[in-house]
Amino acid sequence: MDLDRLSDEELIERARREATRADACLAELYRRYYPKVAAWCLRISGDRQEAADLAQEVFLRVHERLGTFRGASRFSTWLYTVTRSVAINRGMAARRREADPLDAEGAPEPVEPSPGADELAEKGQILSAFREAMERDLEPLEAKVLYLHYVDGLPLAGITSLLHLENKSGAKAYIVSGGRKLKRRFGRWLARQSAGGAAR
Amino acid sequence: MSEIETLQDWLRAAYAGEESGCPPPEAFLEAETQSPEERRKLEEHAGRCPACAAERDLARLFDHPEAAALPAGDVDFVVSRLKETSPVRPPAGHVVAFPGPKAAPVRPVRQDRQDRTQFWKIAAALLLVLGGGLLFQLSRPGAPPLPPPVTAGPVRGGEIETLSPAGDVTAIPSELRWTPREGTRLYRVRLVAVDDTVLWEGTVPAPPARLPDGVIAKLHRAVAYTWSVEALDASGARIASSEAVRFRARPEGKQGT
Repeated sequence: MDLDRLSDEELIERARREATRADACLAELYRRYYPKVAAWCLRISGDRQEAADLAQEVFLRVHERLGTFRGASRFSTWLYTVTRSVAINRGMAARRREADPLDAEGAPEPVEPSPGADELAEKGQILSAFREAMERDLEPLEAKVLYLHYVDGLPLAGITSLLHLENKSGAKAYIVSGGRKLKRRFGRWLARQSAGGAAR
Repeated sequence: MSEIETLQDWLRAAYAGEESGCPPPEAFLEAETQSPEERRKLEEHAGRCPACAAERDLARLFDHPEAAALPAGDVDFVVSRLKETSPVRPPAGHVVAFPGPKAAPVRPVRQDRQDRTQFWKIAAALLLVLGGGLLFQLSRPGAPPLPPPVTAGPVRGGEIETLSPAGDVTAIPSELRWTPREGTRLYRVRLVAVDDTVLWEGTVPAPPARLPDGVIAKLHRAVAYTWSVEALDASGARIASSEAVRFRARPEGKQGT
């Protein structure tokens, strides 16, 4: 039977069942997703070499973990979770080594009273206030860029490319303006947290 | 903890924690399996939640790579790198080997012998020419000294100067080399995968750091890795560090840079 007629899940099943055809089945499966993973990695990294390294690592991880794929979701969904996870780990590691756009920003004096420790003793309350600030005080694009950079670890060039930002400094401008708004609202409390690490 | 780290912690806790109430990122890929009501709720949530709006963008990009509108040459470059993957780590408890390029066919012994004879002939001729050249140089008065041997060149930028491996190399390295730094008691060396998974970490009193055989066996051609080194003083405190150095052993048969 032509392997290209089999679904992704059927290819995996056949690879597990027939050891002699496993290589061919997996080669077909991976080949289907090379362009998809390549394009995703290119868009989020904004660099050919970076994207190639990343995509390479994705397929290594996929191959290592394929034994854990149980078919609870489509293969492509599972592949996406692996791809995203590799990219995030990579991005966070790179971020730890690089200067941050907000490093140059001094903490401005808060223009409104920051939440006091008593008022926001509960972690849930803190996070709720923070979410509210993200969703109301910031422009949607600022909030999105902050999330992509600080939570998903995407490099600034990748975010600029992903969101098709055409301003001169790209994602950096949104990080700085969004970060400034958050610091203005949470300034004092942020400083206290940073000094004492009390939020945990 | 810096303010940026605090900010990052809050962002993660607010949007990536279990209590965030956000759907898993891959939910944006499962539209076909969701009811219209589920899809409507998901869209509504992404409409007000910046984190989910971002995750929706990322998931859609994966589902519709053509929307990325990338130069075809860039995609081809990455795909060609993927195709040149050579033996890949077999998954634990799984009998399937990664489908890499087929092994080169075994050449007949007779042809090997012919090639070997040819090789020795060329080597002898080269020796004669080089030897003659050297004698000529030495016989000249005031001949300039021979230049130092050519190396790959150090990677500068960190406080510790790393030497090798760096960039594309011809073989999977067995050791990591750097310039020693005065006042160092121990060096802590780390070798990591592209996604920062630690493959090996160890301490040595002086360079080079020899990679254990088990680690070397796990490294693959055509795959990028990164290493770095830190210098520690007698109290174990870090006194200097190198930049992270990327290297990749070229695929078998590829000698170009």
